[in-house]
Amino acid sequence: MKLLYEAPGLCLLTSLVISILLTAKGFPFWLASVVAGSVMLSLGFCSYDGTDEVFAILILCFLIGLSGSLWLTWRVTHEPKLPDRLTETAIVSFERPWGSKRALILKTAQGNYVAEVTPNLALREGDRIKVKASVLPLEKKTSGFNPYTYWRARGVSGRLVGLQLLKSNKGRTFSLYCWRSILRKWVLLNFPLRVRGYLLALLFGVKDPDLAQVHARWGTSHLLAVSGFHVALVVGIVFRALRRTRWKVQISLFLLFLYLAFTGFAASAMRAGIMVAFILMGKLIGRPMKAIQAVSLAAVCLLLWRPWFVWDVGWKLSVLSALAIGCIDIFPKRFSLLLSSAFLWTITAGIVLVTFKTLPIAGLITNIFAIPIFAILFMAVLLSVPIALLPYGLGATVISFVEKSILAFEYVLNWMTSFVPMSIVDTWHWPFISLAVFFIILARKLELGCLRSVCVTICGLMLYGVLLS
Amino acid sequence: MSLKSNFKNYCQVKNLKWLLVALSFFIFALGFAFAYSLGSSKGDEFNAEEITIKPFEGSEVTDRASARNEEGQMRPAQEEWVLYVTGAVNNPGVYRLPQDSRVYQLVEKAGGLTPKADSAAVNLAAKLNDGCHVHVPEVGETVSVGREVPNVPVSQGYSAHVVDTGSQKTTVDLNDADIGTLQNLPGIGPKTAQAIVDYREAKGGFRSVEELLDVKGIGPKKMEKIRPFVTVGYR
Repeated sequence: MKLLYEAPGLCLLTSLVISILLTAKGFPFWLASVVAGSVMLSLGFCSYDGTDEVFAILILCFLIGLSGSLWLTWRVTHEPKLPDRLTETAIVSFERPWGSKRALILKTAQGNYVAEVTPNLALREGDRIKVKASVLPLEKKTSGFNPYTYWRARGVSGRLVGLQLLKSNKGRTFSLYCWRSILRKWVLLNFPLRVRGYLLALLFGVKDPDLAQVHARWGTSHLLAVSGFHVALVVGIVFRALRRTRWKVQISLFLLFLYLAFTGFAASAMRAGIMVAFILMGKLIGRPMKAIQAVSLAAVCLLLWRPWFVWDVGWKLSVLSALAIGCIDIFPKRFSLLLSSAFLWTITAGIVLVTFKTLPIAGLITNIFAIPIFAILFMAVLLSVPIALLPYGLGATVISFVEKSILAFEYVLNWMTSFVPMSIVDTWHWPFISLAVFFIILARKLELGCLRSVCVTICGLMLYGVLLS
Repeated sequence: MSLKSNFKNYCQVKNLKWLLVALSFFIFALGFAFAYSLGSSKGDEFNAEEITIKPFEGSEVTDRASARNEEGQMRPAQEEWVLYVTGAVNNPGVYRLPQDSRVYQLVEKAGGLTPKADSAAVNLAAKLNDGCHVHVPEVGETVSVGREVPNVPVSQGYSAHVVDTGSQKTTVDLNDADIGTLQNLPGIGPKTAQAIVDYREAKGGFRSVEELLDVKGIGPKKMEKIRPFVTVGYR
């Protein structure tokens, strides 16, 4: 696979990410764009074969990358203008636990704002409220979790304090948020523990605390976050079901958008959704797209939309894993399952350790079995939604069978994990190991040759060092 | 074939020319980044130096962690303040907040204002003190003030709704307060406040509250009047 022929999007992505990160380090936006552009040219020339066609692609990528970087870095450095006080009708578009409180995103005519409220208020997504509050800029933190980048990546521009909330007489709206909320309630009331936990994760991107704990022990937490795995599963089911119809791509694309909306446009789901959309559109116009190119373009689209995704753990893990999956075909077929599981575990270890400070070693083994078996179980869980509507207790019997199957597999995974109970705790060198492995495999996939692979790896690690310093 | 022509062939086959171009772009980028980082870090060092000098020059900054009480004993470093909130909030009660919190943080902690709250009657931006009682009135409610907080001017909208408990007195640091703050103390006018500041500057600060007796215009009577409201911070 040739970088500039088949995956020029990767050059663009590199340029945008570097420029945003340098801006956050305090570089002026023009300088960050120049440095990022130079790194992009360096990567491009590394795989340049001397032909005019490739040179034209490289220059085009450089110009797009430079203008994209300038725009994004300008956006990152400029704060939105906030009103001093807000008196508006708002819709609760998102709510989640936030320490001992609940965090709400309130969608108003003046933009989206976040508010921290007591759980006693029992506000749900889709509720229409009248809000009176003072508006403050989002809180910024330089170490640990940064609420600023987290909320900016979710389209929030400020936080509300001194809240006065009044539920509107009109009550709930018939918006997508409301439908999300109604369906969530229906799932919570009508399904047994495990099935409902996976359904909430699959359809709404909501993590059940019990399931989150269990999956963290197994090292399979990624199965609970809506990711490419789930998007591919949902689109795969739809595509297979409609394979004889003429409008299969169009219908799949529409249902994909609907699914993404139901998941609350989570970063990882969006990345996967846009990537699948690119692949489907490539099919539609008869120009199939390579996975690495589709992932890169999806990631670029997300950055152009909201540059703060660069700091989102979901986005980082999702893009890195998807790029790694795109490289998996370089492994010998006989050992591909074993090697790809180990490879994915290794390259995501850096981010996981930096973010969560601990990484169960069991994930190395459990993922080999968990991914294919959960693919089947998730399919059964998804199909249990229409089955639940069957009369005469038939639906309940089938759902109970699915629940027991999940519990049985849970038992097997617990047994496997008991053999490897150790975890790696925060170690500084893991991000470097992860990145080195990733760069080497990516360079091999891009057919860069030994010398160039070594150069790309060393330069990549040096750049990471600069960004860290 | 000579070694030179062998190397030339190798370079042509492997397209090393472009690799060198690539490396030079990378070095250019890295050099630029380093040059800028070095320049900006020098600037940071200069700023840091300025900041460290500040506490010794002016009276604006006091080291809270090592502050002393009236008896000159070291006050233990507090990590949290205990605060009480009542009135038109969703969950009135006693809460713990980090030092230097403001009224809106306490109100947020108490679940936010109720729809009946008179948000204009309480200054959400006002600073709190340890042991404070904040009362948020409902629209039309009149609030009885428990005890005026001397170091915060009424114009901040603070004293009307923040009630000092008495057990934790809100005190003015004689080594820190400006003339305006000192004038809020009972019986202290602009002249006496100026005298206190002059004494502080001349002697390099107060070592005990009793030293106030050496200030022109402060006798034993006035001293007893203001004693509950003053403290001597580290200088």
